[in-house]
Amino acid sequence: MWRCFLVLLVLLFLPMGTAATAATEGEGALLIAVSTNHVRVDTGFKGGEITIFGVKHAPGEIAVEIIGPQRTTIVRRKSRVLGVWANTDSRTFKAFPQFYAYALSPGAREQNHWVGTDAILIPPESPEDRAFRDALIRYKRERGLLPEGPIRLTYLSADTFVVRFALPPDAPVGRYAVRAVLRRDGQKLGEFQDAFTLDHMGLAGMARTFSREQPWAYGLICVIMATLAGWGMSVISIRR
Amino acid sequence: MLIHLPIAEMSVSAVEIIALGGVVGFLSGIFGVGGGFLTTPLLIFLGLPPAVAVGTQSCQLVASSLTGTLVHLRRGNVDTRMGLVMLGGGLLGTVVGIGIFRMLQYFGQIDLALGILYILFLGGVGGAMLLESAMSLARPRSPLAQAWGDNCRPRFHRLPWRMHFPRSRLAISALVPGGIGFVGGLLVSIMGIGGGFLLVPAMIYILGMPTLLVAGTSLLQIAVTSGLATVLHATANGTVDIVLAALLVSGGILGTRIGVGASRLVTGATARVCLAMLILAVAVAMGRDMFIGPTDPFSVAVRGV
Repeated sequence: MWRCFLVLLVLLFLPMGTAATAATEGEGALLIAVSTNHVRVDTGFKGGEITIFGVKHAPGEIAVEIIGPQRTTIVRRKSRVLGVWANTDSRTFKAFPQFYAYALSPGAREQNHWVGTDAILIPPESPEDRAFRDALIRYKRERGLLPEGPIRLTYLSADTFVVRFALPPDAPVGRYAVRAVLRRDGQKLGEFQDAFTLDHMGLAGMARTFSREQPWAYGLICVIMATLAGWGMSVISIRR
Repeated sequence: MLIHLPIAEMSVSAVEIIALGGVVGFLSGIFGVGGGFLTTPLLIFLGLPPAVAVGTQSCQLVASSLTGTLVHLRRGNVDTRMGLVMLGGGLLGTVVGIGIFRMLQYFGQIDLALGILYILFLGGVGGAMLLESAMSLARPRSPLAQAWGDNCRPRFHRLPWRMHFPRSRLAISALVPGGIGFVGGLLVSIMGIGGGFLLVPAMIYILGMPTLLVAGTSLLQIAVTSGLATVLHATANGTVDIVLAALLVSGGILGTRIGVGASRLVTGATARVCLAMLILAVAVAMGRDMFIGPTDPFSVAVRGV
């Protein structure tokens, strides 16, 4: 909490000197900072959260996006072949964010796909492609990895704001980009990017990181664990 | 109590998984089978990705088959020489199987392949067992197996690389046990089952091994190949979930203890009929999705980093 407070203080005072020059160039018209650069998510059921503070130096509407680690995602569709249901058709979504959430300032709208689900998954022309896109959205929404709509951005004063994003327990591990955009009359006035890394708390988090970084050692540990259990069990069986 | 599985990336009820391991352990204690053929489908029915179910099950197999192997070793019921020759083929089969598994996963056909394989193997074995038990009630020795043994065994004996297996009192080409081991390795790595139901009859009828040595020797083969399969699934596919495996193993230990005690109540042909029905039921359940359409025709997969 103290860290958040400090970040806020710094944000309030730091840009004062630079604001006049920066705003005219369009650069630095907007500034944000994340409450922490390393979020640890409780995979049990609580999840985690991240708070983003920001300052704007020009009037306009604001959008803040959180874009999770991007990975190639494949959506497959089953259909009947020779009386059997098999995956017959698929669409590949390259570099698709495994988590996405966004916030809008009061009154801001999602026109022209500048932010929101339509921005990361541009609606395709053909109804065929659209069915695959809809299936992906459905799948992600069920898991809380894609929002139904925007989160409300709260103004603390005329030009400072705060957004609090909830991170679900199933939020994938990795680097999350935070992007804020300031717009007026459909024109982008400024953009600011920050990032944080997401990790899972406790044993599950450790196991996962280890399995990714040292798969051989991880596999061996699994086997050793099973071997010990099997051996222990046999000792009990023989003694009987 | 919900617990997060780090590799499956989903939350499951810990009690549910321990109970699953316990029930499978109980049944395997009663019938003296590995139970892999039950665990993998049950995990899939619980909503786990098939790839994770298979990969993790191979880890649980190490524990259950090693227990059996050590008990049989202590009683001197393992033909180690035969076991090692089988392992030669078995380890190769495991590596090939992992390659096939990875390919099927890449093309998104692993669910279909598992469905077909389960119907073929479990349906076939369950059906044969049911037939055999029904016939053994009337006649002690199955004529089907007799005919197979008389006609095919001599042919296998003419293959090259003849070896002596003093413990089993056999002289047979190393290719035959190696080939059986190879198929066993494939089953472990692709289907996540030990394949005892296939190895045991093959070793009795094709190799002509003494029945006393078959169980222990096949378990030795399963313990080692599933160990290799676990490491390979973890490295090549990233589908071994250590938390899930630990839950399954602990449930299995509890269940097996109770099952072994209860095994005195169910014996002989009755036990075999029950087991055959169980195997057939799993085959039907696994195949159901293949014939009756799935609830959602769409599925989402993320390609590994």
